[in-house]
Amino acid sequence: MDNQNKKTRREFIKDIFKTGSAAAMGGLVTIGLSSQAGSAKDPRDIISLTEIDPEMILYNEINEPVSTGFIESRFVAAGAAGEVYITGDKAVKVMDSQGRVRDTINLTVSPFCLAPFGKGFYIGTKDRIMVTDRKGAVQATWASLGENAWITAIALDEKHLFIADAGQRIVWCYDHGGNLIRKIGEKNLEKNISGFVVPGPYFDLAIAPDGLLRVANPGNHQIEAYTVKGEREFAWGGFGNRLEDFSACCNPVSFAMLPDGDIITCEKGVARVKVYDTFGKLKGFVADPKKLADISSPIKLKIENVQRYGFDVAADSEGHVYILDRERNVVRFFKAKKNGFPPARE
Amino acid sequence: MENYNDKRKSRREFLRDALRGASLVAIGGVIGVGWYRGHTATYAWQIDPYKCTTCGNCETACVLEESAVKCVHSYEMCGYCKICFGFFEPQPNAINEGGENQICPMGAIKRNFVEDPYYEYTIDESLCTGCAKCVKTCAGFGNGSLHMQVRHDRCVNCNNCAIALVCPSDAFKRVPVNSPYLFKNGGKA
Amino acid sequence: MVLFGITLNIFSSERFPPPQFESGYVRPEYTVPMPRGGVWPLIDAIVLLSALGIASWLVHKKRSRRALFGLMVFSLAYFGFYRKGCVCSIGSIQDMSLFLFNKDYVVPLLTVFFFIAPLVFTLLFGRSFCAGVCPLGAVQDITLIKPVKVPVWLEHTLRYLAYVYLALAVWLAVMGSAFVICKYDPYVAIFRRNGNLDILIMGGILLVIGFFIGRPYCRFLCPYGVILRQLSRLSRWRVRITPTDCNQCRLCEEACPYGAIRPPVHEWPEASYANDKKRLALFLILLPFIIAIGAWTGNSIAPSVSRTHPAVALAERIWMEENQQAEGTTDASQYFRSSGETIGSLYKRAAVIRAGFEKGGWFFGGFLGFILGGKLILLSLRPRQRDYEAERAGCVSCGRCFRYCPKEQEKIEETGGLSSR
Repeated sequence: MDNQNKKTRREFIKDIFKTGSAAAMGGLVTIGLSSQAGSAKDPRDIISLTEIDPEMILYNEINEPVSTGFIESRFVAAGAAGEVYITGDKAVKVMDSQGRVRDTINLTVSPFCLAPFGKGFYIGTKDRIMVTDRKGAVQATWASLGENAWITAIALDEKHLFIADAGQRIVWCYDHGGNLIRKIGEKNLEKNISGFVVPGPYFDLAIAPDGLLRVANPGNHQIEAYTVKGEREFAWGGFGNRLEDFSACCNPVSFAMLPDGDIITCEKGVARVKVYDTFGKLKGFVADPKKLADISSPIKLKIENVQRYGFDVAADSEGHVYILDRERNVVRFFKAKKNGFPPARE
Repeated sequence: MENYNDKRKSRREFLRDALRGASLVAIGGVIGVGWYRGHTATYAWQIDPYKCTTCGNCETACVLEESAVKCVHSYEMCGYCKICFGFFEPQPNAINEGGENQICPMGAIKRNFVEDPYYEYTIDESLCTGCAKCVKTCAGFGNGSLHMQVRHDRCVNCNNCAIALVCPSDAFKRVPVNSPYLFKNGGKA
Repeated sequence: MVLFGITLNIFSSERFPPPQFESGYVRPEYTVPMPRGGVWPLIDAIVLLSALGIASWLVHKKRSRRALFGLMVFSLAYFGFYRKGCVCSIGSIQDMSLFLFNKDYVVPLLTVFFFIAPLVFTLLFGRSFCAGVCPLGAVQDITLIKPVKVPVWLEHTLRYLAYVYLALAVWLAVMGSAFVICKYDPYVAIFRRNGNLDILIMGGILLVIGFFIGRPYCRFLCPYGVILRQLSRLSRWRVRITPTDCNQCRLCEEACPYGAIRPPVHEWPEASYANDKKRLALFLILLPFIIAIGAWTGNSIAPSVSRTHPAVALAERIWMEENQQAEGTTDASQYFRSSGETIGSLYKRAAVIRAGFEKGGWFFGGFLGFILGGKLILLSLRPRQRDYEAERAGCVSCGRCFRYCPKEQEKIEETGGLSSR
């Protein structure tokens, strides 16, 4: 009797333990689940801006990213013969399209940007243009564009040289000899020119195959087209949360023209490198944004898939695309996928 | 007996006097070392904004209920953007001052129209909690003109700053008390 | 523009020009609220010096518990609630240790003053700092409601904690790990009326204990108290229970809530003399061994203690991440990986710090061994004493015992004074 009593008591205690531990387990699971629910992704999070359909990736990365060797990488340009020029610190690096460094041209000043021509380079320093030969020997130095000048891009056509001046929010049109022809993009509401809104040192331009000048107006989230005479022809783009829109305060930060008139754009803050047609219809992406801002690459970022320094982009006549990652100091090499482009998306 | 005790006492007194003298000399020595090194100064705590990772510890780790760390604005660096991502949510529903569009949970950033297309952003420090959300996105998308600083009208200048203890990037440092700010773009202080 | 330190600002050399406004808008400047600088440190120093002076005068000349109580309330209000408990003499131990061992550490003059002034006063007048100046002492003294006696053996054992705390605080401060005295100051949360949960709980518990056990922090934890105890042994003037001569009336015996009143000790009892002498000899022989064991223990716990240093903790974290023993990253490890410093250099840095800890461990353990051995030896001694006296080391000069002495009462009647409570 006594023994049995003892046994039931023991069992009773056991039962209490069992119930108790079950309750504890249940509690833990609930806490775990609720904490998971709490960490559910906010649909308005910045990460959703970088989530794209893999079908929309139109390019392959053809080799490993190549380190620029600079502390501060600034600008990438493509040459006619498939070579790539990268400026940074106080030098210009010349690579072939496989990323092998062919030459390093040392300079006495910091090259903000560069445009190669037949015999040499037009190099943009902070406030003036320097003409050098292929070895970097200075042939001519043009007059300063002003104390507030901040040259971020140069484009050439047969007669003109266009300078994007981010500091003074203007495009300068010169002849090849350094004589000022006109200013482009000064605010003129009669001519439908609202002026360039450039909040930061990102202001890009290029000559399109159609002969018109394209200028990024980052504060307005637009790409604008001008004639060489400074008439505004058309513009496209806008701010928004859709994939085809430009995000954040001031984008696109840089762009490059492809031989067929398509445009590749880069955005600051979101690692999206997009392909648009001439009139701004989104065709696709050069790479997966998550891969471009890969957190396992040398610099780890607090905000996933966000990069602080805008990428710079260049494209050559064969349609190779070069992306300069100013934060990780690497150049990435891309080539269009062979199977052609899928139809443009609405 | 009495005599013996007295002797013993005076011996003890002598020893005590000697040790007291030695202690005073030691204390003097410490002062001397300080004098010689010239390393005494009055300091205050400050954040190096170029080392700050915007981790958010400033909001929670300060010994004060409302952190002494606030967001400050370098107007010189600001782009005066119409669509500022230090002000708006990463994907705002609309470009207006509605609270649901703002990244600041406290609505501490004020957006004032200056002239087309520029807007000024000012910080109401009485509302700012030092969470660094706006600093993170301003650095990510914009010019990085918003940054964190210890505000010395609030800081009680603890011997060992509680935020400095948990700062993941050693961004907290002691600075001279008469120039206690490390503003971005070398702002005066 | 830069979130991560070593990554250089692309545009560091020049400033990008801000927009040109057409409307005549003027950019606001930074506002720069300044710290409480200027004459304030000087005022703090003067208040400290005056409080020390007044406390000493009240203890030795005026012999007034009521006035001391008033001074305590003032000190609690000024150093505690107004100055929020910082800077304080107890915490200054860490500043001074770091200062003496680290050439680059900048110590404020006020902190040096807070460290040194009470030491000098203690050498002259005993622990008048504890009586009327220290806000931590004041909060405990004022909240002592119903004193309970602590058995002598327990008192001695618990007091050892204070030595451990002192040694640990100095060790960690010298190595640059943390200022533990500040971090675990139990009363600072009361002074600031705010603090994190564990400190609030600890402060609350200690406060409640303090209702019954007099000054628990001062007696069993305070690292500065440990230093003051030793200096108080050497003080020029000591606290006297009686203003004139002790007539052995034993009325004061129970007056001290801190167990600091020692009854007279006469001749060594014949019976235990031989035994006690033997024990003393044994402890004297054991002393070096105790020190050695302590030092060895200190050295062997050093690697674990070194984890309190951020660089060592970071190196361990990185090592675990590198060897797949930890998932993901922490804020610190993420920052490190973006900083450009190589992992090898971090490991090297951490190894140097750990070696420093190991060296410090010898001293830490050796010191504690020495204190333990020394304590055993002192306990085996029987200093002769004729009268009821306040123990030099343990007396915090609170002034409670004065009015228990009939001689004091006589004196009060003579002068008709109201000086004592």
